[in-house]
Amino acid sequence: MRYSDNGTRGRWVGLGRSTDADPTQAGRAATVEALAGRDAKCAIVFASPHYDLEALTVAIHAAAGEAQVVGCSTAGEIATNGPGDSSVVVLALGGEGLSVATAAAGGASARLREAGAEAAACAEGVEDLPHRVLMLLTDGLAGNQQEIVRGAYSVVGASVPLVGGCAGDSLEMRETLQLFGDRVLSDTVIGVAIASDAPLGIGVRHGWREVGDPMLVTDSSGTRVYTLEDRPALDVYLDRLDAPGPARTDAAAFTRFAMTHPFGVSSRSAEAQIRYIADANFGDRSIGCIAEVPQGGLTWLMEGDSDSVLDATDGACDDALAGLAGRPPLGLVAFDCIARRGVLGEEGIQREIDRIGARAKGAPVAGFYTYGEIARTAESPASTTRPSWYSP
Amino acid sequence: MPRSASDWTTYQLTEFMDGVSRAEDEPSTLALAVERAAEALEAEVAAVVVLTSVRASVGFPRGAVPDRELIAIAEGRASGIEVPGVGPCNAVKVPLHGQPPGTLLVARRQNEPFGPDETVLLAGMARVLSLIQRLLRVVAGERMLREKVERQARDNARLLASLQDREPTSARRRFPAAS
Repeated sequence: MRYSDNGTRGRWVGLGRSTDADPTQAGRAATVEALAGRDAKCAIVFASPHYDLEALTVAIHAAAGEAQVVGCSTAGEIATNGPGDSSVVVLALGGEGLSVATAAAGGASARLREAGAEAAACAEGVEDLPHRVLMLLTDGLAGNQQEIVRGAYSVVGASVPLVGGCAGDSLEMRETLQLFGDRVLSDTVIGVAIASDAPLGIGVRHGWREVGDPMLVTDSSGTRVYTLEDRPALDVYLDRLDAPGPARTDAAAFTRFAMTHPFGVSSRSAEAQIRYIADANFGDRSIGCIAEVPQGGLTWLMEGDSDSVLDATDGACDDALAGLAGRPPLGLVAFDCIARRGVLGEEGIQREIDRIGARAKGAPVAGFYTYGEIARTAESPASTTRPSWYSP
Repeated sequence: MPRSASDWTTYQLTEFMDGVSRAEDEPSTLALAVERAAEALEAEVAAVVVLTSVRASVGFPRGAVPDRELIAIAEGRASGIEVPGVGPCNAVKVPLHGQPPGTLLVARRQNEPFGPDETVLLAGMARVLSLIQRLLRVVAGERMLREKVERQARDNARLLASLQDREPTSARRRFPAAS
Protein backbone atom coordinates (compact mmCIF):
# COMPACT_ATOMS: atom_id res chain seq x y z
CA MET A 1 0.00 0.00 0.00
CA ARG A 2 1.35 3.43 -0.91
CA TYR A 3 -0.30 6.44 0.55
CA SER A 4 0.50 9.51 2.52
CA ASP A 5 -1.37 11.13 5.35
CA ASN A 6 0.18 13.86 7.41
CA GLY A 7 -2.94 14.39 9.47
CA THR A 8 -3.67 17.94 8.36
CA ARG A 9 -7.44 17.98 8.67
CA GLY A 10 -7.22 14.34 7.67
CA ARG A 11 -6.84 14.84 3.95
CA TRP A 12 -5.35 11.81 2.31
CA VAL A 13 -4.40 10.39 -1.05
CA GLY A 14 -4.19 6.65 -1.57
CA LEU A 15 -2.86 4.67 -4.49
CA GLY A 16 -3.72 1.21 -5.68
CA ARG A 17 -2.57 -0.72 -8.70
CA SER A 18 -3.28 -4.12 -10.07
CA THR A 19 -1.97 -6.06 -13.01
CA ASP A 20 -4.36 -8.95 -12.48
CA ALA A 21 -5.60 -10.07 -15.88
CA ASP A 22 -9.13 -10.54 -14.57
CA PRO A 23 -10.90 -7.14 -14.73
CA THR A 24 -13.14 -7.74 -11.73
CA GLN A 25 -10.27 -8.90 -9.56
CA ALA A 26 -8.02 -6.10 -10.80
CA GLY A 27 -10.61 -3.37 -10.21
CA ARG A 28 -11.44 -4.61 -6.74
CA ALA A 29 -7.80 -5.11 -5.69
CA ALA A 30 -6.61 -1.67 -6.88
CA THR A 31 -9.55 0.07 -5.21
CA VAL A 32 -9.22 -1.74 -1.92
CA GLU A 33 -5.51 -0.92 -1.86
CA ALA A 34 -6.15 2.77 -2.63
CA LEU A 35 -8.88 3.16 -0.01
CA ALA A 36 -7.16 1.10 2.66
CA GLY A 37 -10.38 0.91 4.63
CA ARG A 38 -11.06 4.66 4.50
CA ASP A 39 -14.05 6.49 3.07
CA ALA A 40 -12.93 8.18 -0.12
CA LYS A 41 -14.59 11.13 -1.79
CA CYS A 42 -13.31 10.32 -5.23
CA ALA A 43 -11.55 7.47 -7.00
CA ILE A 44 -9.68 8.45 -10.16
CA VAL A 45 -9.02 5.49 -12.42
CA PHE A 46 -6.48 5.09 -15.20
CA ALA A 47 -6.96 1.77 -16.93
CA SER A 48 -5.47 -0.18 -19.78
CA PRO A 49 -7.91 -0.46 -22.70
CA HIS A 50 -6.98 -4.14 -22.89
CA TYR A 51 -9.30 -4.80 -19.96
CA ASP A 52 -13.00 -5.44 -20.20
CA LEU A 53 -13.65 -1.96 -18.87
CA GLU A 54 -17.33 -2.64 -18.13
CA ALA A 55 -16.42 -5.36 -15.65
CA LEU A 56 -13.50 -3.37 -14.29
CA THR A 57 -15.57 -0.24 -13.68
CA VAL A 58 -18.42 -2.11 -12.03
CA ALA A 59 -15.91 -3.75 -9.67
CA ILE A 60 -14.23 -0.43 -8.82
CA HIS A 61 -17.57 1.27 -8.25
CA ALA A 62 -18.70 -1.52 -5.95
CA ALA A 63 -15.46 -1.42 -3.94
CA ALA A 64 -15.27 2.38 -3.75
CA GLY A 65 -18.27 2.82 -1.45
CA GLU A 66 -19.64 6.36 -1.62
CA ALA A 67 -16.65 7.65 -3.61
CA GLN A 68 -17.35 9.22 -6.97
CA VAL A 69 -15.61 7.13 -9.61
CA VAL A 70 -14.11 8.81 -12.67
CA GLY A 71 -11.39 7.79 -15.08
CA CYS A 72 -10.36 6.84 -18.56
CA SER A 73 -8.53 4.41 -20.78
CA THR A 74 -4.87 5.13 -21.43
CA ALA A 75 -1.88 4.77 -23.69
CA GLY A 76 0.01 3.48 -20.65
CA GLU A 77 -0.57 3.78 -16.93
CA ILE A 78 1.68 5.51 -14.43
CA ALA A 79 2.07 4.66 -10.75
CA THR A 80 4.77 5.14 -8.17
CA ASN A 81 6.32 1.79 -8.99
CA GLY A 82 6.62 2.61 -12.67
CA PRO A 83 4.81 2.67 -15.98
CA GLY A 84 2.70 -0.16 -17.34
CA ASP A 85 0.50 -1.18 -20.25
CA SER A 86 -1.75 -3.82 -18.78
CA SER A 87 -2.72 -2.45 -15.41
CA VAL A 88 -5.31 -0.40 -13.60
CA VAL A 89 -4.29 2.46 -11.31
CA VAL A 90 -6.71 3.91 -8.77
CA LEU A 91 -5.99 7.15 -6.96
CA ALA A 92 -8.35 7.79 -4.05
CA LEU A 93 -8.84 11.19 -2.41
CA GLY A 94 -10.51 11.72 0.91
CA GLY A 95 -10.63 13.44 4.26
CA GLU A 96 -11.82 16.71 5.70
CA GLY A 97 -10.94 19.97 4.00
CA LEU A 98 -11.48 18.40 0.63
CA SER A 99 -14.51 18.58 -1.61
CA VAL A 100 -15.06 16.85 -4.94
CA ALA A 101 -17.79 17.18 -7.56
CA THR A 102 -17.95 15.40 -10.90
CA ALA A 103 -19.86 15.58 -14.17
CA ALA A 104 -19.91 13.79 -17.52
CA ALA A 105 -20.90 15.36 -20.81
CA GLY A 106 -21.53 12.98 -23.69
CA GLY A 107 -21.77 13.42 -27.44
CA ALA A 108 -18.68 15.63 -27.23
CA SER A 109 -17.49 15.38 -30.83
CA ALA A 110 -20.64 17.08 -32.09
CA ARG A 111 -20.52 19.84 -29.47
CA LEU A 112 -17.02 20.18 -28.09
CA ARG A 113 -17.42 23.58 -26.52
CA GLU A 114 -20.77 22.76 -24.94
CA ALA A 115 -19.42 19.48 -23.59
CA GLY A 116 -16.49 21.32 -22.02
CA ALA A 117 -18.85 23.81 -20.43
CA GLU A 118 -21.20 21.10 -19.22
CA ALA A 119 -18.38 19.12 -17.60
CA ALA A 120 -16.93 22.28 -16.04
CA ALA A 121 -20.25 23.11 -14.42
CA CYS A 122 -19.36 20.62 -11.67
CA ALA A 123 -17.01 23.32 -10.34
CA GLU A 124 -20.11 25.12 -9.14
CA GLY A 125 -20.92 22.12 -6.95
CA VAL A 126 -17.82 21.97 -4.74
CA GLU A 127 -17.55 23.58 -1.33
CA ASP A 128 -16.22 27.11 -1.19
CA LEU A 129 -12.66 26.23 -0.18
CA PRO A 130 -9.72 28.51 -1.01
CA HIS A 131 -7.91 26.25 -3.49
CA ARG A 132 -9.57 24.64 -6.46
CA VAL A 133 -8.73 22.83 -9.64
CA LEU A 134 -10.83 21.43 -12.45
CA MET A 135 -9.58 18.19 -13.95
CA LEU A 136 -10.84 17.26 -17.41
CA LEU A 137 -10.57 13.76 -18.82
CA THR A 138 -11.51 13.89 -22.47
CA ASP A 139 -11.75 11.76 -25.58
CA GLY A 140 -8.63 12.70 -27.51
CA LEU A 141 -10.17 11.44 -30.74
CA ALA A 142 -13.33 13.56 -30.42
CA GLY A 143 -11.94 16.62 -32.19
CA ASN A 144 -10.39 19.96 -31.34
CA GLN A 145 -9.53 19.75 -27.65
CA GLN A 146 -8.99 23.51 -27.56
CA GLU A 147 -12.74 23.93 -27.97
CA ILE A 148 -13.34 21.78 -24.88
CA VAL A 149 -10.93 23.97 -22.91
CA ARG A 150 -12.67 27.10 -24.23
CA GLY A 151 -16.01 25.74 -23.14
CA ALA A 152 -14.69 24.94 -19.66
CA TYR A 153 -13.02 28.34 -19.39
CA SER A 154 -16.29 30.03 -20.29
CA VAL A 155 -17.77 28.53 -17.12
CA VAL A 156 -14.98 28.81 -14.55
CA GLY A 157 -12.90 31.63 -16.03
CA ALA A 158 -9.44 32.24 -14.67
CA SER A 159 -10.66 31.52 -11.14
CA VAL A 160 -10.09 27.77 -11.38
CA PRO A 161 -6.96 26.28 -12.95
CA LEU A 162 -7.59 23.57 -15.53
CA VAL A 163 -5.61 20.35 -15.78
CA GLY A 164 -6.23 17.03 -17.41
CA GLY A 165 -5.56 14.76 -20.28
CA CYS A 166 -6.99 13.04 -23.31
CA ALA A 167 -7.75 9.36 -22.86
CA GLY A 168 -5.79 6.87 -24.94
CA ASP A 169 -6.30 3.51 -26.54
CA SER A 170 -2.74 2.15 -26.66
CA LEU A 171 -2.10 3.93 -29.96
CA GLU A 172 -4.88 2.06 -31.77
CA MET A 173 -6.40 5.47 -32.51
CA ARG A 174 -9.87 3.93 -32.77
CA GLU A 175 -11.82 4.68 -29.61
CA THR A 176 -10.97 5.97 -26.17
CA LEU A 177 -13.21 5.36 -23.16
CA GLN A 178 -14.19 7.39 -20.15
CA LEU A 179 -15.34 5.96 -16.81
CA PHE A 180 -18.05 7.59 -14.75
CA GLY A 181 -19.73 5.95 -11.78
CA ASP A 182 -20.27 2.36 -12.83
CA ARG A 183 -20.54 3.22 -16.52
CA VAL A 184 -18.10 3.13 -19.41
CA LEU A 185 -18.64 5.95 -21.87
CA SER A 186 -17.08 7.16 -25.09
CA ASP A 187 -17.01 10.54 -26.81
CA THR A 188 -17.36 12.08 -23.36
CA VAL A 189 -15.77 14.85 -21.31
CA ILE A 190 -15.42 14.08 -17.60
CA GLY A 191 -15.13 17.00 -15.21
CA VAL A 192 -13.67 16.56 -11.72
CA ALA A 193 -13.74 19.67 -9.56
CA ILE A 194 -11.50 19.42 -6.50
CA ALA A 195 -11.56 22.05 -3.78
CA SER A 196 -9.15 22.01 -0.87
CA ASP A 197 -8.18 24.21 2.02
CA ALA A 198 -4.52 23.60 1.11
CA PRO A 199 -2.72 24.59 -2.09
CA LEU A 200 -2.81 22.57 -5.29
CA GLY A 201 0.33 23.01 -7.38
CA ILE A 202 0.54 22.63 -11.15
CA GLY A 203 3.66 22.38 -13.30
CA VAL A 204 3.74 22.41 -17.07
CA ARG A 205 6.74 21.64 -19.32
CA HIS A 206 7.25 19.61 -22.47
CA GLY A 207 10.94 19.50 -23.38
CA TRP A 208 10.50 19.73 -27.15
CA ARG A 209 12.55 22.07 -29.34
CA GLU A 210 11.90 23.28 -32.85
CA VAL A 211 13.69 21.82 -35.88
CA GLY A 212 14.47 23.99 -38.88
CA ASP A 213 12.56 26.98 -40.14
CA PRO A 214 8.95 27.66 -39.25
CA MET A 215 6.25 26.88 -41.78
CA LEU A 216 3.25 28.99 -42.61
CA VAL A 217 -0.05 27.15 -42.16
CA THR A 218 -1.67 28.09 -45.44
CA ASP A 219 -4.77 25.90 -45.16
CA SER A 220 -6.19 24.35 -42.03
CA SER A 221 -9.56 23.79 -40.45
CA GLY A 222 -9.71 23.02 -36.77
CA THR A 223 -7.42 20.08 -36.10
CA ARG A 224 -6.85 19.26 -39.78
CA VAL A 225 -3.84 20.75 -41.59
CA TYR A 226 -4.20 20.66 -45.37
CA THR A 227 -1.30 22.74 -46.63
CA LEU A 228 1.93 24.15 -45.29
CA GLU A 229 3.66 26.80 -47.39
CA ASP A 230 0.97 26.11 -50.02
CA ARG A 231 2.07 22.49 -50.43
CA PRO A 232 0.20 19.41 -49.18
CA ALA A 233 0.92 19.25 -45.46
CA LEU A 234 1.70 15.55 -45.43
CA ASP A 235 4.28 15.90 -48.22
CA VAL A 236 6.00 18.80 -46.49
CA TYR A 237 6.03 16.93 -43.19
CA LEU A 238 7.41 13.69 -44.60
CA ASP A 239 9.99 15.41 -46.78
CA ARG A 240 11.28 17.73 -44.10
CA LEU A 241 11.76 14.86 -41.70
CA ASP A 242 13.05 12.49 -44.36
CA ALA A 243 10.48 10.00 -43.11
CA PRO A 244 11.10 6.27 -43.65
CA GLY A 245 9.18 4.43 -46.37
CA PRO A 246 6.51 2.71 -44.25
CA ALA A 247 5.44 6.03 -42.68
CA ARG A 248 4.70 7.30 -46.19
CA THR A 249 2.13 4.65 -47.00
CA ASP A 250 0.92 2.95 -43.84
CA ALA A 251 -1.38 4.69 -41.36
CA ALA A 252 -0.14 2.86 -38.27
CA ALA A 253 3.51 3.35 -39.24
CA PHE A 254 2.83 7.04 -39.77
CA THR A 255 1.23 7.40 -36.34
CA ARG A 256 4.23 5.74 -34.70
CA PHE A 257 6.63 7.95 -36.62
CA ALA A 258 4.67 11.13 -35.96
CA MET A 259 4.50 10.33 -32.25
CA THR A 260 8.04 11.66 -31.81
CA HIS A 261 7.67 14.56 -34.26
CA PRO A 262 4.77 16.76 -33.15
CA PHE A 263 4.01 20.22 -34.41
CA GLY A 264 4.72 23.26 -32.31
CA VAL A 265 2.58 26.35 -32.69
CA SER A 266 3.69 29.85 -31.93
CA SER A 267 2.77 31.32 -28.58
CA ARG A 268 3.66 34.38 -26.57
CA SER A 269 5.55 32.24 -24.06
CA ALA A 270 9.05 30.96 -24.65
CA GLU A 271 7.80 27.38 -25.08
CA ALA A 272 5.76 26.58 -28.17
CA GLN A 273 2.47 24.79 -27.68
CA ILE A 274 2.69 21.19 -28.81
CA ARG A 275 0.24 19.61 -31.20
CA TYR A 276 0.39 15.83 -31.12
CA ILE A 277 -0.15 14.42 -34.61
CA ALA A 278 -2.77 11.69 -34.65
CA ASP A 279 -3.15 10.65 -38.28
CA ALA A 280 -2.46 11.25 -41.93
CA ASN A 281 -4.87 11.15 -44.83
CA PHE A 282 -2.95 9.60 -47.70
CA GLY A 283 -5.71 10.62 -50.10
CA ASP A 284 -5.92 14.36 -49.62
CA ARG A 285 -2.40 14.56 -48.09
CA SER A 286 -3.61 16.24 -44.91
CA ILE A 287 -2.51 15.73 -41.31
CA GLY A 288 -4.81 15.41 -38.29
CA CYS A 289 -3.81 16.79 -34.90
CA ILE A 290 -5.36 16.46 -31.45
CA ALA A 291 -5.86 20.21 -31.09
CA GLU A 292 -6.24 23.21 -33.36
CA VAL A 293 -3.48 24.39 -35.69
CA PRO A 294 -4.61 27.86 -36.73
CA GLN A 295 -4.60 28.85 -40.36
CA GLY A 296 -2.37 31.84 -41.02
CA GLY A 297 -0.10 31.00 -38.10
CA LEU A 298 3.35 29.51 -37.94
CA THR A 299 4.17 25.96 -37.03
CA TRP A 300 7.43 24.19 -36.36
CA LEU A 301 8.46 20.58 -36.50
CA MET A 302 9.52 19.63 -33.01
CA GLU A 303 11.94 17.10 -31.64
CA GLY A 304 13.15 16.04 -28.26
CA ASP A 305 15.65 13.69 -26.72
CA SER A 306 15.81 11.84 -23.45
CA ASP A 307 17.68 14.63 -21.71
CA SER A 308 15.35 17.42 -22.80
CA VAL A 309 12.24 15.40 -21.99
CA LEU A 310 13.49 14.31 -18.58
CA ASP A 311 14.63 17.86 -17.77
CA ALA A 312 11.08 18.97 -18.54
CA THR A 313 9.74 16.27 -16.21
CA ASP A 314 11.95 17.57 -13.41
CA GLY A 315 10.95 21.16 -14.17
CA ALA A 316 7.24 20.39 -14.18
CA CYS A 317 7.51 18.54 -10.87
CA ASP A 318 9.48 21.38 -9.31
CA ASP A 319 6.95 23.95 -10.54
CA ALA A 320 4.08 21.87 -9.16
CA LEU A 321 5.79 21.46 -5.79
CA ALA A 322 6.65 25.16 -5.66
CA GLY A 323 2.91 25.86 -5.75
CA LEU A 324 2.47 24.07 -2.42
CA ALA A 325 4.01 26.90 -0.42
CA GLY A 326 6.58 24.68 1.23
CA ARG A 327 4.23 21.87 2.24
CA PRO A 328 5.09 18.31 1.31
CA PRO A 329 2.90 16.79 -1.38
CA LEU A 330 0.19 14.30 -0.50
CA GLY A 331 0.16 12.89 -3.99
CA LEU A 332 1.08 13.65 -7.55
CA VAL A 333 -0.90 13.14 -10.76
CA ALA A 334 0.98 13.06 -14.07
CA PHE A 335 -0.63 13.68 -17.44
CA ASP A 336 2.23 12.70 -19.69
CA CYS A 337 2.15 12.87 -23.47
CA ILE A 338 2.45 9.66 -25.44
CA ALA A 339 4.89 11.55 -27.68
CA ARG A 340 7.26 11.94 -24.75
CA ARG A 341 6.97 8.22 -24.13
CA GLY A 342 7.99 7.69 -27.74
CA VAL A 343 11.16 9.70 -27.21
CA LEU A 344 12.05 8.08 -23.90
CA GLY A 345 11.41 4.48 -24.85
CA GLU A 346 10.56 1.74 -22.37
CA GLU A 347 13.68 2.18 -20.26
CA GLY A 348 13.38 5.93 -20.32
CA ILE A 349 9.82 6.01 -19.00
CA GLN A 350 10.86 3.91 -16.01
CA ARG A 351 13.59 6.48 -15.33
CA GLU A 352 11.06 9.25 -15.74
CA ILE A 353 8.63 7.77 -13.22
CA ASP A 354 11.51 7.14 -10.83
CA ARG A 355 12.44 10.82 -11.05
CA ILE A 356 8.86 11.90 -10.41
CA GLY A 357 8.72 9.49 -7.47
CA ALA A 358 11.95 10.91 -6.05
CA ARG A 359 10.50 14.41 -6.12
CA ALA A 360 7.24 13.18 -4.61
CA LYS A 361 9.26 12.09 -1.56
CA GLY A 362 7.12 9.10 -0.74
CA ALA A 363 3.78 10.57 -1.79
CA PRO A 364 1.89 8.41 -4.29
CA VAL A 365 2.23 9.08 -7.99
CA ALA A 366 -0.53 8.23 -10.46
CA GLY A 367 -1.25 9.19 -14.03
CA PHE A 368 -1.28 8.04 -17.59
CA TYR A 369 0.21 8.51 -21.02
CA THR A 370 -2.19 10.71 -22.91
CA TYR A 371 -3.16 11.79 -26.40
CA GLY A 372 -2.89 15.41 -25.30
CA GLU A 373 -2.75 17.37 -22.08
CA ILE A 374 -4.76 20.21 -20.68
CA ALA A 375 -3.38 22.90 -18.41
CA ARG A 376 -4.66 26.39 -18.05
CA THR A 377 -3.22 28.26 -15.09
CA ALA A 378 -2.25 31.86 -14.46
CA GLU A 379 1.38 30.79 -14.83
CA SER A 380 0.72 28.69 -17.89
CA PRO A 381 -2.27 29.94 -19.84
CA ALA A 382 -1.85 27.47 -22.68
CA SER A 383 -2.67 23.83 -23.05
CA THR A 384 -0.43 20.81 -23.55
CA THR A 385 2.00 18.48 -21.63
CA ARG A 386 2.35 18.33 -17.85
CA PRO A 387 2.36 16.80 -14.42
CA SER A 388 0.40 18.37 -11.60
CA TRP A 389 -0.03 18.16 -7.95
CA TYR A 390 -1.67 17.81 -4.54
CA SER A 391 -0.65 18.96 -1.12
CA PRO A 392 -2.01 18.80 2.41
CA MET B 1 10.51 30.12 -29.64
CA PRO B 2 12.87 32.31 -31.72
CA ARG B 3 10.97 35.08 -33.45
CA SER B 4 10.96 38.81 -33.66
CA ALA B 5 8.23 40.81 -31.98
CA SER B 6 6.98 42.06 -35.34
CA ASP B 7 6.77 38.52 -36.78
CA TRP B 8 4.88 37.32 -33.75
CA THR B 9 2.47 40.26 -33.91
CA THR B 10 1.82 39.71 -37.60
CA TYR B 11 1.04 36.04 -37.24
CA GLN B 12 -1.08 36.52 -34.15
CA LEU B 13 -3.10 39.13 -36.00
CA THR B 14 -3.53 36.82 -38.97
CA GLU B 15 -4.74 34.04 -36.69
CA PHE B 16 -7.09 36.43 -34.94
CA MET B 17 -8.56 37.60 -38.24
CA ASP B 18 -8.97 34.08 -39.49
CA GLY B 19 -10.67 32.97 -36.30
CA VAL B 20 -12.96 35.94 -35.78
CA SER B 21 -14.05 36.25 -39.41
CA ARG B 22 -15.67 32.80 -39.19
CA ALA B 23 -18.46 34.12 -36.97
CA GLU B 24 -21.77 34.76 -38.68
CA ASP B 25 -23.28 37.46 -36.51
CA GLU B 26 -22.17 40.29 -34.29
CA PRO B 27 -22.63 38.66 -30.85
CA SER B 28 -20.63 35.59 -31.83
CA THR B 29 -17.98 37.81 -33.45
CA LEU B 30 -17.51 39.68 -30.19
CA ALA B 31 -17.42 36.45 -28.18
CA LEU B 32 -14.77 34.99 -30.47
CA ALA B 33 -12.80 38.23 -30.47
CA VAL B 34 -12.43 38.43 -26.70
CA GLU B 35 -11.57 34.75 -26.50
CA ARG B 36 -8.90 34.91 -29.21
CA ALA B 37 -7.44 38.17 -27.90
CA ALA B 38 -7.09 36.66 -24.42
CA GLU B 39 -5.48 33.54 -25.83
CA ALA B 40 -3.00 35.38 -28.05
CA LEU B 41 -1.90 37.68 -25.26
CA GLU B 42 -2.13 34.97 -22.61
CA ALA B 43 -4.40 37.27 -20.67
CA GLU B 44 -6.66 36.13 -17.89
CA VAL B 45 -9.47 38.43 -18.99
CA ALA B 46 -10.71 40.15 -22.14
CA ALA B 47 -13.84 42.19 -22.78
CA VAL B 48 -15.61 44.41 -25.26
CA VAL B 49 -17.36 47.37 -23.69
CA VAL B 50 -19.71 49.57 -25.71
CA LEU B 51 -20.92 52.71 -23.98
CA THR B 52 -21.89 51.46 -20.53
CA SER B 53 -22.48 47.86 -21.48
CA VAL B 54 -20.17 44.82 -21.43
CA ARG B 55 -21.04 43.17 -24.74
CA ALA B 56 -18.67 40.20 -24.41
CA SER B 57 -16.12 38.96 -21.90
CA VAL B 58 -14.01 35.95 -21.02
CA GLY B 59 -12.10 34.97 -17.91
CA PHE B 60 -14.75 35.33 -15.22
CA PRO B 61 -16.87 32.57 -13.72
CA ARG B 62 -20.24 32.19 -15.38
CA GLY B 63 -22.70 34.74 -14.05
CA ALA B 64 -20.02 36.72 -12.21
CA VAL B 65 -18.81 39.27 -14.75
CA PRO B 66 -17.84 42.48 -12.90
CA ASP B 67 -19.47 44.89 -15.34
CA ARG B 68 -18.76 47.98 -13.25
CA GLU B 69 -15.02 47.31 -13.01
CA LEU B 70 -14.71 46.54 -16.72
CA ILE B 71 -16.60 49.70 -17.65
CA ALA B 72 -14.29 51.68 -15.33
CA ILE B 73 -11.29 50.38 -17.29
CA ALA B 74 -12.98 51.22 -20.59
CA GLU B 75 -13.70 54.72 -19.38
CA GLY B 76 -10.15 55.20 -18.14
CA ARG B 77 -11.14 55.38 -14.48
CA ALA B 78 -9.17 52.22 -13.62
CA SER B 79 -6.02 50.61 -14.99
CA GLY B 80 -6.46 47.17 -13.52
CA ILE B 81 -8.89 44.66 -12.11
CA GLU B 82 -8.98 42.01 -9.40
CA VAL B 83 -9.58 38.64 -11.04
CA PRO B 84 -10.89 35.92 -8.71
CA GLY B 85 -8.36 33.14 -8.27
CA VAL B 86 -5.60 35.18 -9.91
CA GLY B 87 -5.38 38.43 -7.98
CA PRO B 88 -4.72 41.94 -9.23
CA CYS B 89 -4.25 42.23 -12.99
CA ASN B 90 -2.97 45.05 -15.20
CA ALA B 91 -5.27 46.08 -18.02
CA VAL B 92 -4.66 47.58 -21.42
CA LYS B 93 -7.41 48.97 -23.64
CA VAL B 94 -7.78 50.15 -27.22
CA PRO B 95 -10.70 51.84 -28.99
CA LEU B 96 -13.14 50.08 -31.27
CA HIS B 97 -14.14 52.42 -34.07
CA GLY B 98 -17.74 51.36 -34.48
CA GLN B 99 -21.08 53.09 -34.19
CA PRO B 100 -21.38 53.55 -31.30
CA PRO B 101 -17.67 53.38 -30.45
CA GLY B 102 -16.44 50.87 -27.90
CA THR B 103 -13.37 49.46 -26.20
CA LEU B 104 -11.47 46.20 -26.45
CA LEU B 105 -9.56 45.47 -23.25
CA VAL B 106 -7.44 42.67 -21.82
CA ALA B 107 -6.02 42.13 -18.33
CA ARG B 108 -3.14 39.96 -17.21
CA ARG B 109 -1.55 39.17 -13.84
CA GLN B 110 0.60 41.99 -12.54
CA ASN B 111 3.99 40.32 -12.89
CA GLU B 112 3.49 40.11 -16.66
CA PRO B 113 3.11 43.72 -17.86
CA PHE B 114 2.04 44.33 -21.45
CA GLY B 115 4.84 45.30 -23.84
CA PRO B 116 4.52 47.86 -26.64
CA ASP B 117 4.28 45.15 -29.29
CA GLU B 118 1.35 43.63 -27.44
CA THR B 119 -0.49 46.95 -27.30
CA VAL B 120 0.11 47.33 -31.04
CA LEU B 121 -1.24 43.83 -31.57
CA LEU B 122 -4.33 44.59 -29.52
CA ALA B 123 -4.89 47.78 -31.53
CA GLY B 124 -4.62 45.72 -34.71
CA MET B 125 -7.16 43.26 -33.36
CA ALA B 126 -9.51 46.13 -32.52
CA ARG B 127 -9.17 47.48 -36.06
CA VAL B 128 -9.88 44.05 -37.55
CA LEU B 129 -12.85 43.61 -35.22
CA SER B 130 -14.25 47.03 -36.19
CA LEU B 131 -13.95 46.16 -39.88
CA ILE B 132 -15.63 42.79 -39.42
CA GLN B 133 -18.43 44.41 -37.40
CA ARG B 134 -18.94 46.99 -40.14
CA LEU B 135 -18.98 44.24 -42.77
CA LEU B 136 -21.49 42.22 -40.75
CA ARG B 137 -23.73 45.27 -40.42
CA VAL B 138 -23.58 45.93 -44.17
CA VAL B 139 -24.38 42.28 -44.84
CA ALA B 140 -27.18 42.34 -42.25
CA GLY B 141 -28.55 45.55 -43.80
CA GLU B 142 -28.46 44.06 -47.29
CA ARG B 143 -30.08 40.87 -46.02
CA MET B 144 -32.88 42.89 -44.41
CA LEU B 145 -33.32 44.90 -47.59
CA ARG B 146 -33.39 41.76 -49.70
CA GLU B 147 -35.89 40.12 -47.36
CA LYS B 148 -38.03 43.26 -47.53
CA VAL B 149 -37.93 43.28 -51.33
CA GLU B 150 -38.68 39.56 -51.45
CA ARG B 151 -41.55 40.02 -48.99
CA GLN B 152 -42.87 42.88 -51.09
CA ALA B 153 -42.59 40.77 -54.21
CA ARG B 154 -44.48 37.93 -52.52
CA ASP B 155 -47.19 40.36 -51.38
CA ASN B 156 -47.47 41.80 -54.89
CA ALA B 157 -47.70 38.32 -56.36
CA ARG B 158 -50.40 37.36 -53.86
CA LEU B 159 -52.31 40.58 -54.62
CA LEU B 160 -52.05 40.01 -58.34
CA ALA B 161 -53.24 36.44 -57.97
CA SER B 162 -56.10 37.62 -55.82
CA LEU B 163 -57.07 40.23 -58.37
CA GLN B 164 -56.88 37.69 -61.16
CA ASP B 165 -59.15 35.39 -59.16
CA ARG B 166 -61.68 38.15 -58.74
CA GLU B 167 -61.52 39.48 -62.28
CA PRO B 168 -64.04 37.12 -63.93
CA THR B 169 -66.58 37.85 -61.21
CA SER B 170 -66.05 41.56 -61.52
CA ALA B 171 -66.22 41.31 -65.25
CA ARG B 172 -69.45 39.36 -64.99
CA ARG B 173 -70.85 42.02 -62.71
CA ARG B 174 -69.97 44.79 -65.11
CA PHE B 175 -70.93 42.87 -68.22
CA PRO B 176 -73.72 40.47 -67.29
CA ALA B 177 -74.20 37.76 -69.79
CA ALA B 178 -77.16 38.24 -72.09
CA SER B 179 -79.94 35.80 -71.46
